[in-house]
Amino acid sequence: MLLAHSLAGLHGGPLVLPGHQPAAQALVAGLERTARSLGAWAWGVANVPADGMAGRLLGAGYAAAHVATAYRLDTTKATPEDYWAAMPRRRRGKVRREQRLGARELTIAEGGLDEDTLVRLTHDLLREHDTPTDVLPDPFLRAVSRRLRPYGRATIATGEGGEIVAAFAGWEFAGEWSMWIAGLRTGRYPAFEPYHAMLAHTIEAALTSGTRVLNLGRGNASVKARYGAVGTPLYLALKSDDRRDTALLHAWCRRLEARSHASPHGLAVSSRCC
Amino acid sequence: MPGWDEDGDHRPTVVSVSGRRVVDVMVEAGVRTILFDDPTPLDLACVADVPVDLDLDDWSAAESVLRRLHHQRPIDAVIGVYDLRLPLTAYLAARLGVRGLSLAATMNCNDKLRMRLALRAAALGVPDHVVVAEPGEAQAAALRLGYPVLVKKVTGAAGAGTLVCRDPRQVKDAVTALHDETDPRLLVEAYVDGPEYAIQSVTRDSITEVISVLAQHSAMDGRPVELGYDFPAGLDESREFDLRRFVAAALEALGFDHGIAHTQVRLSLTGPVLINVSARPPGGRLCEITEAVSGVDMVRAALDVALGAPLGRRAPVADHVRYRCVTFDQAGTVNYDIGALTEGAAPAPVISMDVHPGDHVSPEGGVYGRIISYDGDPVSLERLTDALSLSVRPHPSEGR
Repeated sequence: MLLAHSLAGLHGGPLVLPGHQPAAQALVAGLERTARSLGAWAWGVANVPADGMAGRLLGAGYAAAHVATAYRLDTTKATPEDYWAAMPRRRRGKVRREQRLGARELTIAEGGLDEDTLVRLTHDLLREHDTPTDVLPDPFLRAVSRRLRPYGRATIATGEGGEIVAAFAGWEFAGEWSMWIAGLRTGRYPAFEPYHAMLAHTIEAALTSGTRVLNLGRGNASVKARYGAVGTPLYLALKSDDRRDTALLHAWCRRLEARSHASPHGLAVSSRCC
Repeated sequence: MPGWDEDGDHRPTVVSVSGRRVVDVMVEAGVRTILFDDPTPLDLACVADVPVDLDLDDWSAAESVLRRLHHQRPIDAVIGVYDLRLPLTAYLAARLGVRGLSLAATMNCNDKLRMRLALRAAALGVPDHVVVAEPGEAQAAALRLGYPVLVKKVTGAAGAGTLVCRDPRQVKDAVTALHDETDPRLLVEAYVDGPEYAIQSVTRDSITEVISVLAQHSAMDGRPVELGYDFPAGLDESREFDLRRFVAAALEALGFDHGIAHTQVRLSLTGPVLINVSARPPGGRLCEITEAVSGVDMVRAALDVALGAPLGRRAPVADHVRYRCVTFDQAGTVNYDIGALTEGAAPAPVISMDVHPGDHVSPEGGVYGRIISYDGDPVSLERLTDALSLSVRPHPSEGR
């Protein structure tokens, strides 16, 4: 099976800019051709957001399973003042308190994140959640950081000694700012205490910098929803040239989706930060 | 087992996954009938050539049984007409390599979010919607979409899994009422204003033929309830042509290749908006009126399509239908006089009640019966309704 992991590449990512659906279609067509030439019995794309691309794949007979949800916030319609004012008063009070407590002795700002720090904080956080670090291996993180540097936008929390203790590493393409990777100095903050303050800062930065959409990624659904982010289902989409084999993929996706819905945290995901 | 491997039995063999009416039609059509059910009702077990009890949620087990039967005597088709079993039906057809509705199409119809994604990708109108899992998310979505909204289960029964909400409190209550641990997703959907139509169709080799267009009347208060249907639908030729074309395009976008469909569309000010597609015959007695006005029995059509046979078609026997659902706006004990059926027209009018005099009824109970007139004169429907002398005596403890 030839599987293309999108890293949101088919939706506002480094492969296809937001709104350029024909380019996404061309990539999928290329994937299909490659799969056939390699003799793969099936092929597919992971993390296809529920938009036009997903619709085209579903219409083309792809088996699909909704196995994750990304949370996105429209940042075109409000100033920071309007944004906070629109939040229900009680909720606003609670999240503001969380922000204050989490930001004690820290400076939260948008800033540069060097490769070494990105790798160290990311791997610290993965280990804390019993996730193998090879899901985001060192060379991959370094390559992403280096190659996507012109688009990088990170929110970092810095301690009083000037050390970076937490980071949201993100990239913005054509107005969509995606926070794909989180990192944390877990020895100091095992529960990601600066999370609320960093999230609030990121939202305000998006609201004031011409960003259209802030993509907060997967996980922490309830917290992101409290900040007004809307869930966008992410699909695993699979296909084969053979009708019988595609039927197997449909049956497999059906079971996978049922398992995913039956678990409050999705499939084999303990808890994630971004 | 009767008809198992008898010499000289050259009937085509078809598997039906559940289905009373399907089995009747298959037997009438001279088809060797294998029935998969869970469990098989005794009366159907007596009619089917090979009744098989099995767990219909276990697709692998169903496939194993199918292959064993196929090895003993080749199976020509697998059909089904019940929403819940359509994915398994399509799966078995695909795995065996016989004709049947595309599995992708059934999966797209089985999940309203996928349906809307596939249709929107084909530039076909669908209601604006948001996927939610919690009351707070649903209320925020309703605020964005504007009231009224519909809160719907993403998968499962159409009407039973839908609530119309006009304020945040109703949205919260709807999310609680519709919550299902096996699939916590709900759709919050903008209400689409405009006349609604029910369109019945047959698709063969990916070409769709619309066989009836009915104007649909619904009550949109709380749980949506169908109130009735009219034929002709009252559209001018050009609008009906556009509607037929829209439905054919929608079924193509969903991946329909071989099968029947019941599609509901609203004509909004901005154009047609697809509300739902079911890859089965319509419920109530809509199959009966579709056959009266088109000559096509949709269940028989599903069998013909599955076997690759020409579509059986009789001459239409009616050019007007007025179909009204019996609902109640107060709770109590129902009474009526079924002796109302006195007219001698052909086809005869129909009064079909699902409750007996003396039974309890309520507004929340939905549809309790149907009154169908095939007369072009609207007065005939009123006469039928009046003759039924339908009344409800409220219980002392139940107000309106």
